[in-house]
Amino acid sequence: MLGTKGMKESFFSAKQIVAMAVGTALYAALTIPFNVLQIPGSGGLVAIRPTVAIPMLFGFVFGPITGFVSGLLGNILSDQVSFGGFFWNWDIGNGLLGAVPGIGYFIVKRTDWAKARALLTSSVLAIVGSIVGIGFAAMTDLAFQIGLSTLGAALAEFYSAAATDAVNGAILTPILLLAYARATAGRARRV
Amino acid sequence: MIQIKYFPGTSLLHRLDPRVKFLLVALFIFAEVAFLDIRILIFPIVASILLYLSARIPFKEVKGTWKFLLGVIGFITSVNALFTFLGYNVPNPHIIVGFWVFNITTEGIVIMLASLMRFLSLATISMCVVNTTDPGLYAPALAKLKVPYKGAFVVDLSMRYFPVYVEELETTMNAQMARGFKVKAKGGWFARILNTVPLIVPVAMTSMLSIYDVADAMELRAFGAEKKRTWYRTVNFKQIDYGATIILFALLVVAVYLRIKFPTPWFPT
Repeated sequence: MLGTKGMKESFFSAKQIVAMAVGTALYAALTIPFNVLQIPGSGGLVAIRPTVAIPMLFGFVFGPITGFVSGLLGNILSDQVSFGGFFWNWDIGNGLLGAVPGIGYFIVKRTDWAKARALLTSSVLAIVGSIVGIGFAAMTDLAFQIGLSTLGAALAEFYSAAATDAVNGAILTPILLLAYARATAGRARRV
Repeated sequence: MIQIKYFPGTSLLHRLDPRVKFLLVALFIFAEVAFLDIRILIFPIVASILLYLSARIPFKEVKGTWKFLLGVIGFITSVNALFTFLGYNVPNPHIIVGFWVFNITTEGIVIMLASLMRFLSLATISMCVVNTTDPGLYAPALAKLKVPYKGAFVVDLSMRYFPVYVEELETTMNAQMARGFKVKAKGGWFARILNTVPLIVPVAMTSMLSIYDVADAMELRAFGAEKKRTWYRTVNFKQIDYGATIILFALLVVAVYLRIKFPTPWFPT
């Protein structure tokens, strides 16, 4: 069951390029106010990044490369604006967080996006993406001892960040996917 | 207005080509992943602090940034200290103080300090680069580095869209608040996550639906037809950039030598 159209679509077409840019800008623009300005849900670890659902959604809808780029560049951009820093392993981790749900691009038909099975798939992939992405970041922190020097500390970092991202992604990705499926219903060009 | 913290100036870092600054960050990343010896890690941290001071970045403008960064460092160090002193295993550790299940050892302190130095030096140098580089020059610099222009275009386009979406979020938030939306949600995790939906969904949907219109417009202008494209702004190597590049490559050679010479962590005896 191939989710793509009958004709082969390039991962670097104009549509994909714009999707990468929009995903990047959207992830960064939404993340900064939620993190720095502490808008909704502030005061709890769970609200650290509800916007992780953005690269996950872009991965699911536009494919793993677009998801990866949205997460990677979006995180770089938001970090640059938030505090001007650059942490390569967390940027790649965020990229993976968007790339893994990209599996859904291949296994779920676009016309089925609003169905329960597709929404559940997006939710499960969001959890897997969080584990893979944050796992990569935490383990590279440990491997190269960036800020952390013990397995216990790396696991503490992993559990807290992966759990919050997984919860946020598992809830918000299907909601966004359903909204997108409804918004694009009947628009042949937009599926 | 939320935007990349760029402060124009005339310091050495301000005058350097963005490509040289990318190389600088790459060198620091190499130092970060390669060195275990705390005596060597002193060099990158001192260099990053000196470069930061030389850039004359107005402290008033970045006070919040440093507060945020120090908060992150404090948190990471606390977690790290907890686990380091709980059970960091090296042969024959030198215990300074021991209480309950914790043992404060010389080795633990050194390892913890090295981790902190890696984190701080990379944070400082990347702040230097971000604060002194015009964001509009990233894409042309990437293009000059032979990054495929579609890749550079993603960076360029996302920089342009970013402030638009920030504004869109503010407008959406005001509109939702006028309809009774409460910014601070009451309730548990689930309620707080769901409270973000009225903000995230409208902004995400509007922007995602615009993708096809922009892509159509680009294709109508033959985007992708040529393998190369020109940029409105461009970057060119000057004498200072050649000099800096030579120095950075020389430092890279020294760094590789030091990595081979000092491959293991060093502990004071």
